[in-house]
Amino acid sequence: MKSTGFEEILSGFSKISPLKFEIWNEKGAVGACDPGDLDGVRQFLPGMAARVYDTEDFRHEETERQDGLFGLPLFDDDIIAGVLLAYFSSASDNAQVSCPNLEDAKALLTRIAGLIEERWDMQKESDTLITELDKSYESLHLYSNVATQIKTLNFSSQMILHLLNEIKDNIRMDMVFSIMPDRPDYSEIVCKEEVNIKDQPGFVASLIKAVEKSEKALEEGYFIVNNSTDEKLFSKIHKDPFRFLAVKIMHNESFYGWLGICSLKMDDIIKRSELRLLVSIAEQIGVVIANTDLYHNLEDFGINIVKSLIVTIEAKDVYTGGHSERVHHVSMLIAKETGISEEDRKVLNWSALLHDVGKIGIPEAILNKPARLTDKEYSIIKGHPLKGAEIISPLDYLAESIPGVLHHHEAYDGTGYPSRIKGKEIPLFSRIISVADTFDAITSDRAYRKGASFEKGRKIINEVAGTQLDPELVEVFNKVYKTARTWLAEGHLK
Amino acid sequence: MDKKKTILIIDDDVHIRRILEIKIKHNGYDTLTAKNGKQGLEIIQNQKPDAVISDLNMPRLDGKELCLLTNPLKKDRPFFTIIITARINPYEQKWIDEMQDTIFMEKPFSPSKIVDALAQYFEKTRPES
Repeated sequence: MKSTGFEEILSGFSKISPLKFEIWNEKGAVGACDPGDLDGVRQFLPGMAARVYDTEDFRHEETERQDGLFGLPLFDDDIIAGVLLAYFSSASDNAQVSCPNLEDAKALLTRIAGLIEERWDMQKESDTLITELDKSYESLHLYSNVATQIKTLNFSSQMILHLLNEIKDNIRMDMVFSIMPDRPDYSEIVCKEEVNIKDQPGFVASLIKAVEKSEKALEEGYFIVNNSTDEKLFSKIHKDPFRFLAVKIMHNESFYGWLGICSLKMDDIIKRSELRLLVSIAEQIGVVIANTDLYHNLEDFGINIVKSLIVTIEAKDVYTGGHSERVHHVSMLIAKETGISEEDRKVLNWSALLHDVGKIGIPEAILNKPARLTDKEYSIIKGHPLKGAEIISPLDYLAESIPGVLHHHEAYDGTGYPSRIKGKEIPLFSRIISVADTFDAITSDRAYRKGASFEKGRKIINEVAGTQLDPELVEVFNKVYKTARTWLAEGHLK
Repeated sequence: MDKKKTILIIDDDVHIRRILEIKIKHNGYDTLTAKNGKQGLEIIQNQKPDAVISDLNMPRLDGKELCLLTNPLKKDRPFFTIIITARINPYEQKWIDEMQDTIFMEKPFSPSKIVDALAQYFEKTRPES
């Protein structure tokens, strides 16, 4: 039995009043008295306590020596948690005092018992409040963590994973998942190791399928099941009962998917605070995804503008239609194979698309001349990398892509233009573009000749490795050649 | 069995003191509380707690001053210090790194993470038996 907090007060009462008070439980006296020392009338207390436990009601007994014994049960949540005993000893030194009458004793005992019970209730209430407060702190901590992550513009699958793990640890759930059908990168499940759900993706998929059948879920934005066995749609999903909450991830009118928590521990229910927390997090995720989408849309918009620009340039050149896109594609294949970073690939992406943008300054008569070019005409052609670099130089966003454009006609042995640099002095992106550009130049039709076959193109590329092209990159090209050929043959033809 | 460890909680906010007190007691420690750095310092000197959890911004001796004053004591009698603060900046990280057995936790803090940190420290510093 827990402490009543009244033991000391009762022992104080006992010293000054004719009645002595004690609190007992099944094992014996609690608190101030020595439970072993059962002198005089105290020898009747164990039996008295047991009888009050039995009857669960006020009890009055008298001994042969006319000692008075009173007992009252103490209830905690309707369960008897102890008994309050009071006794009067006729053998007491003070013989002038007599035993209080039954009514007075009963009233006093009832009062004291009431105080003790009230104190227990308050303690319980305070415990509940503190537990709630503790949870709020945890939620606040989690939420501030989430908010920090969400500030970043580019959401990633690692961030989702981290977030789900935080939620799992914080609200002590067995499983936390995010499911976004159109965004497999953001669809993750984290689960405690000991949880017995074998096919987790299958389990979550069935859950969501069942949720989406319910009109209530679609209206309210969330769905709670506190016991799967009570719901026909959910009882079949897993052999053991489970409870779960799924919250919609949305922003404005766009629906992205579901954020959910699930537990096989059935001794608790999904709490309102957990619902609130999950709803807030899902809202935040919605905002981030919308922002990330917006960012990517802008990026795509930029790329598409550049592609239109390139089409315009290439329209001048009757033979090279699609050249830039093909060089871009093959360059990216090579880059991917070399394993350069995502950031570098972005820079190369722009360099490769824009490598020939300087041709806008070359007269059509020269570009489309079917005969051999004069020296003067050739030097005009040779001006296009510099021209291209100048054209994109006002765009800060493309600053890193300039070297790739400027040097894509340098040769590995230093005989190229415009800077006549050689070997690894030539920027990597330029060397990659050179390989792709040379291959496309050989295999596509020109004003003065027909294009060679892909196989012939590959052969020539390997012949100029070390003189015109970086031999290491030619090796990489050989590895991606088949993929490139397939792509080129599929309608991105010369 | 190990003797119960005593944790001193220093914060000028009574609610934070209370919640930490309850949480830490629930996890089997004894607690002491102080409402500012000055009170905290006296308790550290006289009652020698095994760990101190302190807010950074407080009237009458803040968390940093408290650390600077108590750090020399740790040479003879090491104890753990957790400083609770709003977002940490690199400058603050630097002085915290210079203190012995001292870590920080960002506000809003997680009570369970504080308890985890205490358990980890006591586990680490337990004498080999």
